[in-house]
Amino acid sequence: MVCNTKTTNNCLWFFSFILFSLSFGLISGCANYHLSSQDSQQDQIDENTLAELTESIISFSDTESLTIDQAKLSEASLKYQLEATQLLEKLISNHDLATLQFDDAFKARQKLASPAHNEKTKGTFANKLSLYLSDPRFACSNPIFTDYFNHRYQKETALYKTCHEAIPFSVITKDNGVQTRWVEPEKVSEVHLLFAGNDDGLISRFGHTLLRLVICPDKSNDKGDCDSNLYQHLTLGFQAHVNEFNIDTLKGLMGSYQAYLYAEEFMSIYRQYAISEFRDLYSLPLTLSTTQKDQLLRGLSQIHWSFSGDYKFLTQNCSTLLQDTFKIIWPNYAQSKMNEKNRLRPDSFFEDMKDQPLTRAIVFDDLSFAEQTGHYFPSTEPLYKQAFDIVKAARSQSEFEDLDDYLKILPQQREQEINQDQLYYSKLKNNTHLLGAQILLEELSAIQSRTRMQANIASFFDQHGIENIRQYMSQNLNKHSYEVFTQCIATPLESQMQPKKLKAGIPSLEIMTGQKNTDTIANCESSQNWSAINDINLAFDKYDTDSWMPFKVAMHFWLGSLDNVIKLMELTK
Amino acid sequence: MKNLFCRVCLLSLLSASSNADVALRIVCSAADEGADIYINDKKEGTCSNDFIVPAGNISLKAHRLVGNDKEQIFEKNFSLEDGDVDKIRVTLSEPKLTKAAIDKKRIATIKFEMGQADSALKKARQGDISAMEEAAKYYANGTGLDKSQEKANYWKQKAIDTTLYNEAMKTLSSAEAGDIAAMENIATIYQEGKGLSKDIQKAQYWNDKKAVITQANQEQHAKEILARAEQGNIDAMTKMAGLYQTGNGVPKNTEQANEWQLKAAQATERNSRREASEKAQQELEDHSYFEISKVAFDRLFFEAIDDGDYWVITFTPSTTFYGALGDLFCSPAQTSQHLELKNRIEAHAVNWGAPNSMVAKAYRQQFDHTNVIATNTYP
Repeated sequence: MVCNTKTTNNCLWFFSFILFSLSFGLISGCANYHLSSQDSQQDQIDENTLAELTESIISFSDTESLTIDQAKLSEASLKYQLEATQLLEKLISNHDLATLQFDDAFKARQKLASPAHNEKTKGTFANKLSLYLSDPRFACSNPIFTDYFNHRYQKETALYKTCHEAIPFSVITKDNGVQTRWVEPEKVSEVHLLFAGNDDGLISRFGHTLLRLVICPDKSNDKGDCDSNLYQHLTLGFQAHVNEFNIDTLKGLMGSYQAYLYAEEFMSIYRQYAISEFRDLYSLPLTLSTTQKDQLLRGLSQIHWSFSGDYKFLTQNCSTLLQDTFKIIWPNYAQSKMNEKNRLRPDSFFEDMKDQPLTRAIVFDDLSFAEQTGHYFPSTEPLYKQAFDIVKAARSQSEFEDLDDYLKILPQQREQEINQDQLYYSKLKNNTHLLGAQILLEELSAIQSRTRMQANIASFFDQHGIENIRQYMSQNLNKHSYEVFTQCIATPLESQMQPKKLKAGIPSLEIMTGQKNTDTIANCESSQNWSAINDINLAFDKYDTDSWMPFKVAMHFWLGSLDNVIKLMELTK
Repeated sequence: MKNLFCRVCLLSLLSASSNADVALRIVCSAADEGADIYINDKKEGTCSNDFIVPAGNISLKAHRLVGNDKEQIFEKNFSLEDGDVDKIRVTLSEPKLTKAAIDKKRIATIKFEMGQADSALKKARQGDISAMEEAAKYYANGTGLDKSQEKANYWKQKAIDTTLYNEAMKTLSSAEAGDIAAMENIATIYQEGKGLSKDIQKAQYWNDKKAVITQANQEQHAKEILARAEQGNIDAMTKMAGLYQTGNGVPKNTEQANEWQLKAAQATERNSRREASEKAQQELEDHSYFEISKVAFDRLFFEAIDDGDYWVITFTPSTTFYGALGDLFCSPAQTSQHLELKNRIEAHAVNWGAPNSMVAKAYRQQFDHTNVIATNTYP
């Protein structure tokens, strides 16, 4: 375009206009990039106004105690048509005052207690602080950040007094899927550090650490009753969410699996370690005051609902994450020598904890007594071996050399051999200890068979993939059976692979009441589905007979072993 | 022409007579020829013939004896006026008994009936029930005996009473031999006085005896059923439940009844599962896997999984999920006993080998555990 004198002026104005518009667009775009999701009204608050508002609304004493002028906040909120919390967040995030900046302590808490741990800390800090200052429910949902801000800004909110008395955990149960358990801090007599002993496996060679909540029964707070209420005790442990059927060691090392703080029933952990894996369990009581215990429990709940991180077998594992947790929710730990460094190995961590006044390791002075008091849960392997030795010695003849040999015999064959050995059969009827030993062997067969069933299912799906199997089922099952397959197998499996849904803090009773436990597998076992389940079983078999056969064999062993237990128990009558 | 001639002849005959007479020609068929002819009850000759008879009402009868006791008869009544001429064709009836013969027979019958009645009466007096009934009929009908309703009633009742008595005696005999139904019947007989004299005490005696024996029988029956039930007979188990429910042969006990009902249900379930298991076992045995060597079998089913990392998958929180899937596949074959055991077996080992441990204690608190394993003490 050629510009003459008159037109030159016009051109200049024109190009200036274009330039201005472009600049405005760019600035707006950047500004939009930096802004959190707020009403466009905020764009009208310029920096100077923000600064003025901050100064008038937020004030600090000499001791850095922070106060808010609620009246001015409300006024500004109305004026700029923003929620008070939103306005506060805006003021905080745009302020340069050192006292309104996050620190390492906050970062540590963000990592463990915020679903937004990957977001910019500045934004999270502003968000949390604004909620802390304006939301009366914040202390109940975010005890970790509340404690932090209380300490940082010398404030004391009415800690937890207005909160619901019980704290929720989403517990993985053995028979009823995932259920919400409400735990009253008053009913938790102790918190223990649980250590599962070493194993030869790559992943478990250094053991495993987690926490145990010693929960009292509803009607008693007597220590003995609380200790023996094992079936209601819970555990909390950091574990990897393996969203596939076969664990990839490299992924585990590199942090490709997400870590969560899982809640499980203590007896599930006992079963897993002491029975299935033949590992010892040690339960080390933490030295906690009532207040500390309360704080610990609320902090654990928040982490349980809000944390996700990369699980790395060697450097960010159950042990290191637990230590990071202790640092932020257990002041005594944070002030102790343990805080100086993280132990990468669970066994090292446990050993060092035993040496601290933070715990009562005296309970392990006598392991025999510790077993009685519920601090030591030894592997059950010696018991099964003892049972095997007793049985082998009593049999008239036996073709099995060791326990593994015995467990590989078909259950029906084992039963036949017992029935055919008249002398042994007679001994069983007259010797309760021997009968108990024989029953134990069948039970071990059942337990191991069940574990094999689980592994075989995982193997089968790993080989073929859910989608391929789903497609095959859609073509080979009748309508009802396919519905059952979808509802009871495919959908729960896919859901299992999905990341855990996190919450920004401990959910309230109102929120939890509105949610349904959607576990469908337990409901799927009703008799009206049996025909469909048989169809599905047959379809799996047809789909890949060789690959499905191991599961069928394992199931056969499981049911057959239980049948043997039932028949043997009749000998007591 | 012949008829005309006959008429002329008759007329000639008539004209020869001096009174007011009529002329009759009686004609018989060849078969009936020779029958006696009675006119006005007077034998006038035989058939076929002409007769001159007084005019007026005429009764004509043709008669012939057949054998000793039968006769053939033809009868006709008509009237003729003076000078009439008539022709009557006679057809004799079929032979029938003569009156004398009838009378004779009747007498014989009466004599026979009298004999029968007499015989019946004699037998009746000796206690013959059917004779009594006969005698009653004879008296009622006046057959062989003088008709007497009173006597008929007497013998009828006597027949009934004797029948009842005999039945009662038979029942008594059976009752004395131990027949429970007979005991009940004899008690009723004594109660109602039917067949035997009413005797309340004896009725009570037999009722009591029946109750005792019934009770003993029921107890024996219950013992037999119990023995079969204890051996695992499902039908017997169900029956035991019923016996305990009703208190037949055993003390009434609802708890026991429920227990046997449960056992029957469990045994039924067990049987069906055993069948399914045997079928599965057969299926497995039919499969070629069991033709392979033990080493190969171990490799396929026990070590293949061990080689993979699937064990690890089961030791993450996914464990519970895969466990639930496994339970799902097993659910059609799992009995309630299986499910109950599944929850208990995890702590059996310590309960057996370390009963003082906290796990054993917790286990006993959780389950009302009374089987053998709990009774062992830690060595």
